Amino acid sequence: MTTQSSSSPSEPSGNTVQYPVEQAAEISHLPDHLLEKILEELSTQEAVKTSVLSTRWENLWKRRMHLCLDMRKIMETTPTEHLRSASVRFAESITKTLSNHLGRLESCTIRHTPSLCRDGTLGRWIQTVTSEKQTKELTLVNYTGCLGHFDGHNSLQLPPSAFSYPSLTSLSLTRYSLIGTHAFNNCCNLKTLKLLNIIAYVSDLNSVLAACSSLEVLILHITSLRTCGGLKIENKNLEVLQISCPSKIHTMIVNATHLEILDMRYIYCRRHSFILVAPKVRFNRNYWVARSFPHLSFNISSLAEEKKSIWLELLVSQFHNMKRAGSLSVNIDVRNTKEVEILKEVILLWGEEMKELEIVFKNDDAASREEEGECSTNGRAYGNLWDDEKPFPDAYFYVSTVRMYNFSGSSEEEFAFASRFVTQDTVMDKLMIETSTYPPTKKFITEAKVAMLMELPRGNDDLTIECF
Amino acid sequence: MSSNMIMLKSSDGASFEIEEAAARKSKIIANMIEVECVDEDKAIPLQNVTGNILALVIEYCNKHIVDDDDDVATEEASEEEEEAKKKKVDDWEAEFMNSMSLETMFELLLAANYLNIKSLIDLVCQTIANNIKDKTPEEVRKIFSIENDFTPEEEEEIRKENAWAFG
Repeated sequence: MTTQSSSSPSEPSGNTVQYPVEQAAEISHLPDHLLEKILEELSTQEAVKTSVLSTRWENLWKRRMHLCLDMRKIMETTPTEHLRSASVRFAESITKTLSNHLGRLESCTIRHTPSLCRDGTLGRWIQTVTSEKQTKELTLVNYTGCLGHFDGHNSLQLPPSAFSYPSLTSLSLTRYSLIGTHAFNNCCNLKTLKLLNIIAYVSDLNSVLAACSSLEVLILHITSLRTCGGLKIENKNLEVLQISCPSKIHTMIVNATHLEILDMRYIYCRRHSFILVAPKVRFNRNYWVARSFPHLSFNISSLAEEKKSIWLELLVSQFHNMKRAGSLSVNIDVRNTKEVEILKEVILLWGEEMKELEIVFKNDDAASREEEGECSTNGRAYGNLWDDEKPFPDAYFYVSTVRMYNFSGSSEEEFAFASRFVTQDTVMDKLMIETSTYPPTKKFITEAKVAMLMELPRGNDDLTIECF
Repeated sequence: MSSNMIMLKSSDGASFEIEEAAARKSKIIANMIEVECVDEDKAIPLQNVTGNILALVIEYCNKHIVDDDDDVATEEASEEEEEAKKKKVDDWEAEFMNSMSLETMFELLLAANYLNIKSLIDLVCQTIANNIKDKTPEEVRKIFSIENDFTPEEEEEIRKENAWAFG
């Protein structure tokens, strides 16, 4: 499997590595796979630098599965007058480094200077990492920082079907101007597409999204649209959509029957011009009713188990250290510990007072039968979740208004959950519970429970509790 | 002797008694226990590990077996408690690695590799990598006593090929 270099030949135990006590171990005693493991702990740049240590080290970095080729540091330390020539020279060396790498790649990130968008270099790199290295994740970042403003010189010019490789499932592009869409031809291989700080024509965006027919995740942060038109997102497998667009959009159609998470950061589009066909994120509150604050709709309870933590991680990573603002709508089964944990983590993404929290309880009998096993196994954990005195989600979370829908008077768990919002100093203004659509008996029982909620000692004296 | 203690014997003949749960951190020993080739009265001979290194391995395993037990017992421990616990382990690991020379680290890494203790391999690799980080190749050669067997021309060629990394 690996070479065991410099093992002491004087030892009696044949093929094993052993040294006499008096001979100190050296790094050269380590087999290649351990040295490679050490290099995995370093950045790509640090690892590549070790190739100059000695002939033993020359090839050790070359089988790493993740490459991050970053021209940023080097461009920052080069005097401005030499930037053009340095950019060409460093680009050539990145080409060489890519061709020196051996075997496949899991992921590849390239941060480059804008001039490489147009001279064909970027296209050749993409070709190498996709067709030769079969990378699964590709991240391209146009580093405009040192070479003037973000303008027309950043247009991404690539050969047709540049991103069409079966192994490539995730693509992230940052700070490009998209002109033409042929690079995205036949892109049904992509499951995740992130277009960040993008300038584009609406028609081009529509073509790109139509070409990427298998998308599950779409993160669209548009810097500006060259034309004002209609945006169409009709990806039937889409589960997560995050969008921010400060340019005016005439009409926006999102037709995604599998959508679980809709994150509207900012859009400039009238309410009646936004058409959403996404049954799983059908909530009572949205981006517009909450006065154009960012709005996150999150159907926690219908997510497939394995996706729950993946999407949550995605939401967290999307913000780096920035905290969220605005409102949240969730659909949740509070009997499910895992779902409550996710809700807690989502809520904690807010860095300031949340405007509105809409909670739609999922408590239909069919669902509870189906999940009976899970509920009983979670019984002990569940008890601890509500029995302790700790605030939910934590002592620092504040929300102006909480609206609860489908609150069931007969569910102990939902009552315990709602009680938390009454007794702790979390809700600043109102706790509202929808009962107006209930049949008379259910309404009677539920309103009796709400009356009990009203009797509880309130964490915040200004809190009002009402049915609506 | 309680039944869940086992004996390990180092290459230089030192014997160590260790809880079975701690010894199971090693995939190799765990496998030996599974296939019942562990005789309760006999020590498992570890021909590739000297006594002083085996002592470190056992110290590490003992420390981490306690932590794993805790995890199971308090599944719903609050976030703060978990963070505090993680910090405690991190502090212990930092102190543990700090206490040894590079030479000892190499031997410990070989032992962890031989015994197949993944978390210990990761810890030692990370610590050795930290000694490479932010250093010039000349400094790294000196720290690790690596003999440069390139000709000046060869070395220059590698630096040129990977110019973006060297700056």
